[in-house]
Amino acid sequence: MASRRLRVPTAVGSVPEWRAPKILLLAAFRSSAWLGHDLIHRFRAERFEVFLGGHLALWASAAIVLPLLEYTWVLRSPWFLAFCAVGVAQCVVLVIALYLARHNRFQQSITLVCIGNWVSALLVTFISPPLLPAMALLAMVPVVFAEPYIRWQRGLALTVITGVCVLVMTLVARFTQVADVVDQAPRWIETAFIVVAVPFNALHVMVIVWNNAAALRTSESQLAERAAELAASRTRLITAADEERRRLERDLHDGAQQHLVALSVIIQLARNADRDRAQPLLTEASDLVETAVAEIRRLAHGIYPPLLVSGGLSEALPTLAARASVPVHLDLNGLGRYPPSTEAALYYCCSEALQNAAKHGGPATTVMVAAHAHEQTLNLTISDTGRGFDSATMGVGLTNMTDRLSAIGGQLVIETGPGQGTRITATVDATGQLADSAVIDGSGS
Amino acid sequence: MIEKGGVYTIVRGTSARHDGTVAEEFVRVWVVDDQASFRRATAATLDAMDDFVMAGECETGESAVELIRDGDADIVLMDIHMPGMGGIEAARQIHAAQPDLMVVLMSTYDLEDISADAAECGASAYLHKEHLSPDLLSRIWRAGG
Repeated sequence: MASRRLRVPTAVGSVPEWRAPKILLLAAFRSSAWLGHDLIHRFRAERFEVFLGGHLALWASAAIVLPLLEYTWVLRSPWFLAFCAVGVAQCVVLVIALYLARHNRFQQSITLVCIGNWVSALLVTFISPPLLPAMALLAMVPVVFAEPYIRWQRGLALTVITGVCVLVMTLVARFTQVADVVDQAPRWIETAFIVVAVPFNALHVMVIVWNNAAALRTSESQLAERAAELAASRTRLITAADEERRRLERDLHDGAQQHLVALSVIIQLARNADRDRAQPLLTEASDLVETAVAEIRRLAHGIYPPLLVSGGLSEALPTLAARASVPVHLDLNGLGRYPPSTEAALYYCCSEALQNAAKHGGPATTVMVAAHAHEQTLNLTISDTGRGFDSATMGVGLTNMTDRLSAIGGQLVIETGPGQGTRITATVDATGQLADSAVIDGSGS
Repeated sequence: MIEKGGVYTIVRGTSARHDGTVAEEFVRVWVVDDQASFRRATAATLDAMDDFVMAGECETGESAVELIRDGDADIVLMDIHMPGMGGIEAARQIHAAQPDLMVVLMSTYDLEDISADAAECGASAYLHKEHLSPDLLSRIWRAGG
């Protein structure tokens, strides 16, 4: 069977390289199974999780590990334990937010992180007023990051609340009586924390802003690439449509029209001929009519196969396979009805692939056509045991197939090589699958 | 170009003169067309005429240029749209080699859809294929004289 000689393609392999900012090229996130394969969504999800993970690590290290170390080794002051308690609470909040983000609930997640951060920053400022600069910067981090994930109304509300929070923190720091335990703590601990934390948090905010801008730039360049590809593909589709019209014109002109013209000449002759001479002319005319009818039927079938309208792919593909000049094995279990554009594109791909296999595959080529319908997608795989070709020399037919599929939001993966056969996998969105009752019976006479 | 019941006279046959004595000998017609059905229709038309006979037939412009020798035919019915050289170029070459031979271009298109080269290739007339009839062939032959 054909497929034994061929590698099985992975769906992701066909996707063009995604140029994300460097921080997002973490292999762990790329390969994570719990993120979807929609790249734009995945990109957003990854950024969000990287941010939350980093934020969690920051709080855990600076507000739990560091105070505990200081409590153990430097000074057994309850001040460190209070600091630690706030850190633990904030880390719990961040873990819950991570859980929400993994379930795509970004709005709730970011709101939770914001509230947690305000409360924690306020408490830390209350416990240790000299830490205000670091805490003020920390309070801004979630709302700076949140922008791509929330509606603008909520973003505005979070920004205003953050501003109010920073104001309250400032007032708290200015007017709160500094506790004795804080006063008693060695000044160098506080100084060291502020000297490290303020630039670090400032840098953190700037990195997030830069990261947002980089994401925007990446999206823009992706959009531009997509637009250029769309324009090229549209031009190719128009060219293909023109070519198709030209072919139709030639087929009509060279086929049916020629027979009808000859018929007209012969009927004219028969009308003017005497009875004996008219008989053979009418026989000839009758032959010509039959030829013309057959020609028109063949042409009409080539334009749009009637079975595809009435019975869908599961009925049209067997007929196509039976007419192919190479042996074709079919495995079409589970095929339903799909929108006409989807069915037409897949039928066209199959027809083109069968023609290619017959034309270029060489002797003893066999073809396997397999359809796999999943919940979200429909895969149609056409694999042959033919000669294959160098994938750099892709013909117009294969480009047309790719364009036609991309026009309906599908993808085409072509795997081949000299002596390896050819395997063409078309993947389309099957969420538009039609219920049986919704199928319009288009079968005509 | 003057329309005369389906015949479009492209060039008044100044060079393609013949003696016009159709009653004394057969007018030999050579058909060049890649469509077998139309060659059959032409054969049937000539069969219905007493003074016209089929001199030969071929499917391409190239074979027409090669096969039609001096004195083989009196009229060449030349389809315009054929694979390869095409009828207009074939007509030009045949006319250059045998200026006395009458070449009639044919197709199923209207004259407006035919390339302007058709008027300058030396053909005597343009014939819409569906108008082919014994009467029209005779008229074309007489008009050429």
